[in-house]
Amino acid sequence: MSEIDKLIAYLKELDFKPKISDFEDKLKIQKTVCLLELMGVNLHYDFSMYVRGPYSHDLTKELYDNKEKVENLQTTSSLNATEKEAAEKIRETSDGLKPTLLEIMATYSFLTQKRNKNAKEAIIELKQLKPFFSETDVAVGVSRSKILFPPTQAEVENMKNEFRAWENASDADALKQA
Amino acid sequence: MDSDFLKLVSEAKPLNSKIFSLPRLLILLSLENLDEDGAQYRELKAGLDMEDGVLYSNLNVLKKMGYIKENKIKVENKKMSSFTITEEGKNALAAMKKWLKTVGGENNE
Repeated sequence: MSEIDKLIAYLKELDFKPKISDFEDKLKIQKTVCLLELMGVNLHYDFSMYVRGPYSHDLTKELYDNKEKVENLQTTSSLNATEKEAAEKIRETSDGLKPTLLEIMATYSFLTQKRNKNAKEAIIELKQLKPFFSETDVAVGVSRSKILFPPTQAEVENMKNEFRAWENASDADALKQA
Repeated sequence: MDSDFLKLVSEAKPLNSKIFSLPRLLILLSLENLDEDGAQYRELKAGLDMEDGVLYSNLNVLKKMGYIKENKIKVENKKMSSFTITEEGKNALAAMKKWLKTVGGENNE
Protein backbone atom coordinates (compact mmCIF):
# COMPACT_ATOMS: atom_id res chain seq x y z
CA MET A 1 0.00 0.00 0.00
CA SER A 2 1.38 3.39 -0.92
CA GLU A 3 2.22 5.95 1.74
CA ILE A 4 -0.16 8.43 0.23
CA ASP A 5 -3.17 6.27 1.18
CA LYS A 6 -2.05 6.17 4.80
CA LEU A 7 -1.37 9.90 4.73
CA ILE A 8 -4.89 10.57 3.42
CA ALA A 9 -6.27 8.39 6.22
CA TYR A 10 -4.46 10.65 8.70
CA LEU A 11 -5.87 13.78 7.03
CA LYS A 12 -9.34 12.23 7.24
CA GLU A 13 -8.85 11.47 10.93
CA LEU A 14 -7.79 15.08 11.45
CA ASP A 15 -10.90 16.36 9.58
CA PHE A 16 -8.58 18.26 7.28
CA LYS A 17 -9.65 18.55 3.64
CA PRO A 18 -6.76 20.40 2.00
CA LYS A 19 -6.52 22.32 -1.24
CA ILE A 20 -3.23 21.48 -2.91
CA SER A 21 -3.00 24.92 -4.52
CA ASP A 22 -3.18 26.56 -1.09
CA PHE A 23 0.17 27.45 0.49
CA GLU A 24 -1.09 27.23 4.07
CA ASP A 25 -2.71 23.81 3.54
CA LYS A 26 0.53 22.38 2.08
CA LEU A 27 2.45 23.88 4.99
CA LYS A 28 0.10 22.14 7.44
CA ILE A 29 0.55 18.79 5.67
CA GLN A 30 4.35 19.14 5.55
CA LYS A 31 4.66 19.92 9.26
CA THR A 32 2.05 17.34 10.35
CA VAL A 33 3.74 14.56 8.36
CA CYS A 34 7.13 15.64 9.72
CA LEU A 35 5.81 15.32 13.30
CA LEU A 36 4.20 11.94 12.54
CA GLU A 37 7.48 10.64 11.08
CA LEU A 38 9.36 11.86 14.16
CA MET A 39 6.79 10.11 16.36
CA GLY A 40 7.66 6.86 14.62
CA VAL A 41 4.82 6.68 12.09
CA ASN A 42 6.62 5.52 8.98
CA LEU A 43 5.10 7.19 5.96
CA HIS A 44 8.46 6.93 4.13
CA TYR A 45 8.99 10.63 3.46
CA ASP A 46 12.49 12.00 3.91
CA PHE A 47 12.75 15.39 5.55
CA SER A 48 15.74 17.72 5.33
CA MET A 49 16.39 21.12 6.84
CA TYR A 50 15.87 24.06 4.47
CA VAL A 51 15.34 27.81 4.94
CA ARG A 52 11.72 27.01 5.74
CA GLY A 53 12.54 24.35 8.33
CA PRO A 54 12.07 20.62 7.82
CA TYR A 55 10.71 19.94 4.34
CA SER A 56 10.15 16.87 2.17
CA HIS A 57 10.48 17.23 -1.59
CA ASP A 58 9.04 13.70 -2.08
CA LEU A 59 5.94 14.58 -0.09
CA THR A 60 5.20 17.66 -2.19
CA LYS A 61 5.65 15.61 -5.36
CA GLU A 62 3.21 12.96 -4.12
CA LEU A 63 0.64 15.59 -3.15
CA TYR A 64 0.69 17.01 -6.68
CA ASP A 65 0.69 13.56 -8.30
CA ASN A 66 -2.36 12.58 -6.21
CA LYS A 67 -4.05 15.98 -6.06
CA GLU A 68 -7.61 14.73 -6.64
CA LYS A 69 -7.34 11.84 -4.19
CA VAL A 70 -5.89 14.08 -1.49
CA GLU A 71 -8.39 16.89 -1.97
CA ASN A 72 -11.32 14.45 -1.86
CA LEU A 73 -9.79 12.40 0.96
CA GLN A 74 -10.11 9.19 -1.08
CA THR A 75 -8.24 6.35 0.55
CA THR A 76 -8.31 2.58 0.91
CA SER A 77 -6.34 2.80 4.14
CA SER A 78 -7.58 3.21 7.68
CA LEU A 79 -5.90 3.94 11.01
CA ASN A 80 -5.55 1.58 13.92
CA ALA A 81 -6.00 2.72 17.53
CA THR A 82 -2.31 3.69 17.97
CA GLU A 83 -2.30 5.68 14.72
CA LYS A 84 -5.52 7.43 15.70
CA GLU A 85 -3.91 8.34 19.02
CA ALA A 86 -0.90 9.87 17.21
CA ALA A 87 -3.23 11.97 15.04
CA GLU A 88 -5.19 13.10 18.08
CA LYS A 89 -2.00 14.11 19.91
CA ILE A 90 -0.96 16.33 16.99
CA ARG A 91 -4.43 17.86 16.73
CA GLU A 92 -4.50 18.64 20.46
CA THR A 93 -0.96 19.99 20.78
CA SER A 94 -1.22 22.18 17.67
CA ASP A 95 -4.60 23.66 18.67
CA GLY A 96 -6.25 22.04 15.65
CA LEU A 97 -3.32 22.29 13.19
CA LYS A 98 -2.51 25.97 13.75
CA PRO A 99 0.30 26.76 11.21
CA THR A 100 2.49 28.79 13.60
CA LEU A 101 2.43 26.07 16.24
CA LEU A 102 3.01 23.31 13.69
CA GLU A 103 6.01 25.18 12.25
CA ILE A 104 7.61 25.70 15.65
CA MET A 105 6.84 22.19 16.87
CA ALA A 106 8.11 20.50 13.69
CA THR A 107 11.32 22.55 13.57
CA TYR A 108 12.12 22.18 17.27
CA SER A 109 11.27 18.47 17.27
CA PHE A 110 13.32 17.84 14.12
CA LEU A 111 16.33 19.51 15.75
CA THR A 112 16.03 17.55 18.99
CA GLN A 113 14.88 14.17 17.64
CA LYS A 114 16.71 13.99 14.31
CA ARG A 115 19.72 16.25 14.78
CA ASN A 116 20.22 15.27 18.44
CA LYS A 117 20.42 18.89 19.62
CA ASN A 118 19.78 19.52 23.29
CA ALA A 119 16.90 21.79 24.27
CA LYS A 120 19.07 24.90 24.56
CA GLU A 121 20.81 24.39 21.20
CA ALA A 122 17.51 23.61 19.49
CA ILE A 123 15.87 26.79 20.81
CA ILE A 124 18.82 28.93 19.66
CA GLU A 125 18.70 27.39 16.16
CA LEU A 126 14.91 27.64 16.02
CA LYS A 127 15.06 31.35 16.85
CA GLN A 128 17.74 31.93 14.21
CA LEU A 129 15.66 30.18 11.58
CA LYS A 130 12.32 31.66 12.62
CA PRO A 131 13.00 35.01 14.33
CA PHE A 132 9.65 36.31 13.10
CA PHE A 133 7.72 34.22 15.64
CA SER A 134 7.00 35.83 19.00
CA GLU A 135 8.69 34.63 22.20
CA THR A 136 5.28 33.48 23.42
CA ASP A 137 4.63 31.40 20.30
CA VAL A 138 8.10 29.84 20.57
CA ALA A 139 7.60 29.04 24.26
CA VAL A 140 4.18 27.48 23.63
CA GLY A 141 5.44 25.54 20.58
CA VAL A 142 8.47 24.19 22.44
CA SER A 143 6.40 23.13 25.44
CA ARG A 144 3.89 21.39 23.14
CA SER A 145 6.77 19.56 21.41
CA LYS A 146 7.82 18.28 24.82
CA ILE A 147 4.35 16.76 25.22
CA LEU A 148 4.87 14.84 21.96
CA PHE A 149 8.47 13.95 22.83
CA PRO A 150 8.87 13.90 26.62
CA PRO A 151 12.44 14.52 27.85
CA THR A 152 14.56 11.45 28.64
CA GLN A 153 15.68 10.64 32.20
CA ALA A 154 19.17 11.99 31.40
CA GLU A 155 17.71 15.28 30.14
CA VAL A 156 15.56 15.58 33.28
CA GLU A 157 18.71 15.02 35.42
CA ASN A 158 20.58 17.71 33.44
CA MET A 159 17.75 20.16 33.99
CA LYS A 160 17.68 19.33 37.71
CA ASN A 161 21.44 19.97 37.96
CA GLU A 162 21.05 23.26 36.15
CA PHE A 163 18.24 24.35 38.47
CA ARG A 164 20.29 23.21 41.50
CA ALA A 165 23.16 25.48 40.44
CA TRP A 166 20.76 28.41 40.13
CA GLU A 167 19.20 27.65 43.52
CA ASN A 168 22.64 27.45 45.17
CA ALA A 169 23.66 30.78 43.65
CA SER A 170 20.41 32.32 44.84
CA ASP A 171 20.90 30.93 48.38
CA ALA A 172 24.46 32.31 48.47
CA ASP A 173 23.18 35.76 47.44
CA ALA A 174 20.48 35.65 50.14
CA LEU A 175 23.08 34.74 52.81
CA LYS A 176 25.34 37.64 51.75
CA GLN A 177 22.48 40.11 52.00
CA ALA A 178 21.34 38.81 55.43
CA MET B 1 47.98 28.18 -21.97
CA ASP B 2 46.67 24.65 -22.29
CA SER B 3 43.71 23.69 -24.40
CA ASP B 4 41.57 22.65 -21.37
CA PHE B 5 41.63 26.17 -20.06
CA LEU B 6 40.50 27.51 -23.40
CA LYS B 7 37.68 24.94 -23.27
CA LEU B 8 36.67 26.31 -19.85
CA VAL B 9 36.58 29.83 -21.24
CA SER B 10 34.51 28.70 -24.16
CA GLU B 11 32.09 26.76 -21.93
CA ALA B 12 31.68 29.84 -19.71
CA LYS B 13 30.35 31.95 -22.59
CA PRO B 14 26.70 30.82 -22.38
CA LEU B 15 26.61 31.29 -18.59
CA ASN B 16 24.79 34.30 -17.16
CA SER B 17 27.41 36.27 -15.25
CA LYS B 18 24.68 37.98 -13.23
CA ILE B 19 24.21 34.88 -11.05
CA PHE B 20 27.89 34.86 -10.04
CA SER B 21 27.07 36.79 -6.93
CA LEU B 22 26.97 35.08 -3.54
CA PRO B 23 23.53 36.42 -2.48
CA ARG B 24 21.94 35.46 -5.83
CA LEU B 25 23.55 32.07 -5.81
CA LEU B 26 22.39 31.41 -2.24
CA ILE B 27 18.85 32.50 -3.07
CA LEU B 28 18.67 30.17 -6.09
CA LEU B 29 20.23 27.27 -4.17
CA SER B 30 17.82 27.71 -1.27
CA LEU B 31 14.80 27.67 -3.61
CA GLU B 32 16.07 24.83 -5.80
CA ASN B 33 14.58 22.02 -3.68
CA LEU B 34 11.47 23.77 -2.44
CA ASP B 35 9.31 23.02 -5.48
CA GLU B 36 6.18 25.04 -6.17
CA ASP B 37 5.92 25.96 -2.47
CA GLY B 38 9.05 28.08 -2.47
CA ALA B 39 10.01 30.10 0.58
CA GLN B 40 8.57 33.15 2.24
CA TYR B 41 10.52 36.42 2.20
CA ARG B 42 10.94 36.26 5.99
CA GLU B 43 12.27 32.69 5.76
CA LEU B 44 14.86 33.65 3.15
CA LYS B 45 15.92 36.67 5.21
CA ALA B 46 16.42 34.57 8.36
CA GLY B 47 17.76 31.41 6.74
CA LEU B 48 20.27 33.23 4.54
CA ASP B 49 21.07 35.82 7.21
CA MET B 50 20.68 38.73 4.77
CA GLU B 51 19.81 42.35 5.41
CA ASP B 52 16.57 43.57 3.82
CA GLY B 53 18.42 45.80 1.34
CA VAL B 54 20.64 42.98 0.06
CA LEU B 55 17.85 40.42 -0.11
CA TYR B 56 15.30 42.74 -1.69
CA SER B 57 17.61 44.05 -4.41
CA ASN B 58 18.89 40.59 -5.32
CA LEU B 59 15.39 39.10 -5.40
CA ASN B 60 14.43 41.89 -7.79
CA VAL B 61 17.39 41.19 -10.08
CA LEU B 62 16.54 37.48 -10.17
CA LYS B 63 12.87 38.28 -10.82
CA LYS B 64 13.79 40.55 -13.76
CA MET B 65 16.02 37.80 -15.14
CA GLY B 66 13.04 35.42 -14.99
CA TYR B 67 14.88 33.03 -12.65
CA ILE B 68 12.44 33.35 -9.76
CA LYS B 69 8.83 34.43 -9.40
CA GLU B 70 6.99 36.08 -6.56
CA ASN B 71 3.68 34.69 -5.33
CA LYS B 72 1.18 36.30 -3.00
CA ILE B 73 0.17 33.92 -0.23
CA LYS B 74 -1.84 33.96 2.98
CA VAL B 75 -0.75 32.33 6.25
CA GLU B 76 -3.09 32.67 9.21
CA ASN B 77 -4.85 35.48 7.34
CA LYS B 78 -1.63 37.49 6.95
CA LYS B 79 -0.72 38.45 3.39
CA MET B 80 2.88 37.55 2.52
CA SER B 81 5.21 36.95 -0.40
CA SER B 82 6.75 33.65 -1.29
CA PHE B 83 9.37 33.06 -3.97
CA THR B 84 9.82 30.07 -6.26
CA ILE B 85 12.53 29.20 -8.74
CA THR B 86 11.45 29.01 -12.41
CA GLU B 87 12.53 26.38 -14.97
CA GLU B 88 14.80 29.04 -16.47
CA GLY B 89 16.36 29.61 -13.05
CA LYS B 90 16.86 25.87 -12.52
CA ASN B 91 18.53 25.54 -15.94
CA ALA B 92 20.87 28.49 -15.31
CA LEU B 93 21.81 27.07 -11.91
CA ALA B 94 22.41 23.60 -13.35
CA ALA B 95 24.61 25.05 -16.12
CA MET B 96 26.62 27.01 -13.58
CA LYS B 97 27.06 23.99 -11.28
CA LYS B 98 28.24 21.91 -14.23
CA TRP B 99 30.76 24.57 -15.21
CA LEU B 100 32.03 24.92 -11.64
CA LYS B 101 32.58 21.16 -11.51
CA THR B 102 34.66 21.46 -14.66
CA VAL B 103 36.66 24.27 -13.05
CA GLY B 104 37.16 22.03 -10.01
CA GLY B 105 38.45 19.30 -12.30
CA GLU B 106 35.69 16.78 -11.53
CA ASN B 107 34.74 16.31 -15.18
CA ASN B 108 38.36 16.14 -16.34
CA GLU B 109 39.35 13.05 -14.35
